[in-house]
Amino acid sequence: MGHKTPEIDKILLGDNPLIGVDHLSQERARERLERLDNSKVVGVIDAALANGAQGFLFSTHPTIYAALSKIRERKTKTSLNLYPLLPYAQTYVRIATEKGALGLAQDVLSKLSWKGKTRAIAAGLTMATADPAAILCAYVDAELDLLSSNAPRNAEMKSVILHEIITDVAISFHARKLLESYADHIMAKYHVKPGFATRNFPRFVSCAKEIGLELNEIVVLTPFNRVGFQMNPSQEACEECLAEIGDSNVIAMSILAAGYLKLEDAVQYMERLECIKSFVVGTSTEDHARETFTYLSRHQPKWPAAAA
Amino acid sequence: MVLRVGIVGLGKMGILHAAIVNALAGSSVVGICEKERVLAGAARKIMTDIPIYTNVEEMATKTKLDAVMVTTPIQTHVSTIRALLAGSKVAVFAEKPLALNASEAYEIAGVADKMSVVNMVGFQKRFSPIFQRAKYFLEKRVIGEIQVFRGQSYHSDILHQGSGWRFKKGAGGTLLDFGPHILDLLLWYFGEVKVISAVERSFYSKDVEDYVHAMLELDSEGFGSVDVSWSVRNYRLPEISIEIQGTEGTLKVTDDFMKIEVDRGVDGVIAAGKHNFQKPAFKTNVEFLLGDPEFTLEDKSFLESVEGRRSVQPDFKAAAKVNELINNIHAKALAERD
Repeated sequence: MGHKTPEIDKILLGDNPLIGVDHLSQERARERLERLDNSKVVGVIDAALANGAQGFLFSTHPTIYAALSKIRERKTKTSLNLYPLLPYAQTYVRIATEKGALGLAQDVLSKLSWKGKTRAIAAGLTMATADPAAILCAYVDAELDLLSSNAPRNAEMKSVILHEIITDVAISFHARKLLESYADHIMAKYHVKPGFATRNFPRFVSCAKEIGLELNEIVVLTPFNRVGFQMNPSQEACEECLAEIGDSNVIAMSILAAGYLKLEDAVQYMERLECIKSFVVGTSTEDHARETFTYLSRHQPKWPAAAA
Repeated sequence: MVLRVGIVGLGKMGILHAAIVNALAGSSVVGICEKERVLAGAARKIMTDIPIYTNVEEMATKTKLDAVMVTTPIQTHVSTIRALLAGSKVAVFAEKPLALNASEAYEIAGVADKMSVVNMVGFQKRFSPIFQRAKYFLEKRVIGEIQVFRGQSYHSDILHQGSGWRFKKGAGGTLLDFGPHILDLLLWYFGEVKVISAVERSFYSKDVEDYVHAMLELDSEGFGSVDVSWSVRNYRLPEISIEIQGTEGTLKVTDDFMKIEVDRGVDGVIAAGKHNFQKPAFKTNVEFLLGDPEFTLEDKSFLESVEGRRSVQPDFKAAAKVNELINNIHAKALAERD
């Protein structure tokens, strides 16, 4: 597949608590948001990096862009590996609610940067021909343009991860062209492993095999936790699938089952999962980030697959 | 047997149900109808194995269908269902709310009943294990007689003047578009619900209401209120919360958790004291997840009923009650304004 893509990091900071996402409690998410401002988000990122997090996995959300931009403005350089997850689905669900699916497509096209629009037109992309695969790639470019103008200068992008809403719809319909176009585009243009978030891990794996996506050349972001939270169709099926695929780049998410479990539980559980290379944990305050990542670096699971 | 399912309307909910139904082992999407040509064209590029039609009659004639899911804008639900049932005896699932108003809803419920076709409406909250557990405790009367309740359904969806059918008088508004879920839950929990008074306000929309507050009463002595709005800040996701005080305890249920305090335990149901149930404690793994697990559980329940040819809840009649409650709230609000 041409370029050699960078390997992924083992311990990642996630952004959910920083942008008001909480799969356990919306009430808690709201309380947190009231306490958060940009400088506190920067503080969480700094504390996580200083205590063992190697990368940052985040939604393309204005709060995150503002925090990254603050880090960029500092005199001291911050090395930061970036794992953007896009699109930030809630924004687009809201547009679809208001304007319908057609309005959404029009909105996405109209928001492309001038450069994006030129590229879109060059690709023969107009509303009349609306090709979802071409719209997706043009959208990704526009979003990553925006990211690169906000990201710290020596930050390195390690993967670009497609939101599970798109991945999971695509695998249901065996939308080969959409998944392939996305993967090819990310590899050819950004020279990183294309990432796919999914809440249907075994189904994603069988679909990836079917359409010829090499599992060791892509990244898969999917829930793994002791209680089976959001592991579909079942915890057992996800674990079996993971054991079968061997060498791959799976980033485990929801390892704390949205805060229902303790870090000790998460680490003990993941020790059993030899094929996972990486995991992501979100923290809401500097102190919480310090404690969490100190613990994780000291007690990180010793997986053979991982590049420690 | 793999059930053959058609989808009418490829908006947000159409895509969601189509993807779930197509992924389930027991069913397959064999036809999609989308009137908007650009969307139909886009769908053909993604769903390469599925014929995409631009009118319902054509889909119904050309494709053998066991069931159809109607996910069009509200104002076309009833005409679409009528067109489908005129052609053949096909099971129908419609997204909520069933109709624009109660008379339309009861009429189509009557048609489906007469033809004895399986019919269901997308009140997926009834398939959330948390809301189900609350229903179970209420049925077992663990908090005694209901004294007072407070329901709230908020979302930060509309914080500016919107465009599209949701904002047209008679076809949208927060009560008809966003309110049906909590109203259905209240009807499911309490049975009959009467409207004492209501207030509606617009914050951003020109022709429809953005906030509704209604005082309600039950057949028993119990009473309470419900607030519905798509224009409340800081609700990234739609959120339902229902707090109930009974003669022997309290219960609060939301999308995320249920807290219950029971004075006296009920054998085999719940012990006296405080209990807190959180989402991950419930086994909600599903064959295929998109959005929330309740969508999959709802679709499976519909499809199993189609296969077994038996009725399923919430059906059109249950949904017509929601339309009736909406009408009554609107009427009270209008009467009080004048």
